[in-house]
Amino acid sequence: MYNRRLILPLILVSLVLVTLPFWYQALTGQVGAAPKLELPAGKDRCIESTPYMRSHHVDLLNTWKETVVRQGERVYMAGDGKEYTMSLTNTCIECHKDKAKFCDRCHNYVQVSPTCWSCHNVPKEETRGTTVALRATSDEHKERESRIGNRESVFLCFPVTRYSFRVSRFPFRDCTFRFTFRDCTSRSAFRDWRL
Amino acid sequence: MNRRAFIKLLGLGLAGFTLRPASELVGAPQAGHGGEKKWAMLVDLNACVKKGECTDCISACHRIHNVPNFNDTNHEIKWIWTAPFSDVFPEQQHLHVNERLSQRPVLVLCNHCESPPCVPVCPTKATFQRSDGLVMMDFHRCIGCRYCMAACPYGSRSFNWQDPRPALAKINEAFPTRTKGVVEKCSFCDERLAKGLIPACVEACKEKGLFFGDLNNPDSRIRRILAKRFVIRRKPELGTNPKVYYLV
Repeated sequence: MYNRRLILPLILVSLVLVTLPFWYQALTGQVGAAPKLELPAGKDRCIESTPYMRSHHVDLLNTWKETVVRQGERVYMAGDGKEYTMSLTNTCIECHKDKAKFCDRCHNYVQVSPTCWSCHNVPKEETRGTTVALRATSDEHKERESRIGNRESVFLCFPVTRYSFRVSRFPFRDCTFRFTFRDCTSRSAFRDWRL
Repeated sequence: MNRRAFIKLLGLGLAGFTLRPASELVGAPQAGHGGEKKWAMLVDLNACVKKGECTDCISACHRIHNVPNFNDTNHEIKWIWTAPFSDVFPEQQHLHVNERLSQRPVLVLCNHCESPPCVPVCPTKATFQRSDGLVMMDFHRCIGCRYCMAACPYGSRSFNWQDPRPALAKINEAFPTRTKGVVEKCSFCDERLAKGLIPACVEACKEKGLFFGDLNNPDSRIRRILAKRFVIRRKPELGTNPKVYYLV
């Protein structure tokens, strides 16, 4: 081999560098910034054992998703015989109240971003446990009216085919004509549109 | 064996294929005896008060189901709403419709049809029909193609053009919100049905104008009303067999 005196030592150095994580941790005992999870107080066990939850919580949640939505079954029988409601927000997050201190710690570490949270709520501390009543309170009525006015009493007698005027580059087209989807529900609106 | 014997055995064997359908026919459960429910709703048009004054059912539904309220009809999402009589029942429209009916709003929601046109067109089976007659939405599977919206002849479905959460004044934590890009509609409150409750709109109606029950149970309130009174449904000529009945 040409340049043997340069290449062989450099190969050895690069091997040492590549295996650096292994022998450094073995020698110094420092493991690095592994995520520390804050467990809920007062509970010693999740619905299944910790090693099982670590390895299978995704499978469990997927199974729950299919079972609840597609089969309508909402009761889960855990390995120890206890029954739980299959719900991310109402069962899991009931105990693991702060997802930032539990779920996100590992997920951020391994750079996983599950899409559950765009729909499933994580209740804030101040609203936890409150239920939404079927009828609005008078305060909520006032707040809503101040935001959007008394819109609900405006009642369209027929579906509107909406006209909007805009200044256009084309001189002959000075209005645009929009047919909204809701108009499809009625034949009278279709007649209006065609006119 | 010889050829004749073989052909005789073959004929007998083919006759065996008829055994299973025959047994199903003989042992088939009659409607109501199988234990399977068929949920339906009845709207009493005489009880629904004058327009604009009462939206209890709509508010109740939209509140507990986190239905957003945008101030833009292009983006609006509605699970239950009111519409003029001429739009809800176009085949009943004529010049001299009873004023009592034509001037009042008609409550409209997903009809949970028995032959729903939205179900076979869904490419992912995100909308599916449950054995108790409910047409369900699986928001995990919905890809937002809106084919179901095109198929629904009643306009019951709404699409989330944007993230609904900013438009929600108060989120009901116990029920998930939806995300941008899925289609949603009334679900006959299946999460309440699972707990043995009636749908929120039915419970919220102060005028007792909404009824909900099991069509397979001959003693249920809705069956007793249907036996006594005349009802109409939306666009029955389409063959969807809607399960929301209107008392006129």
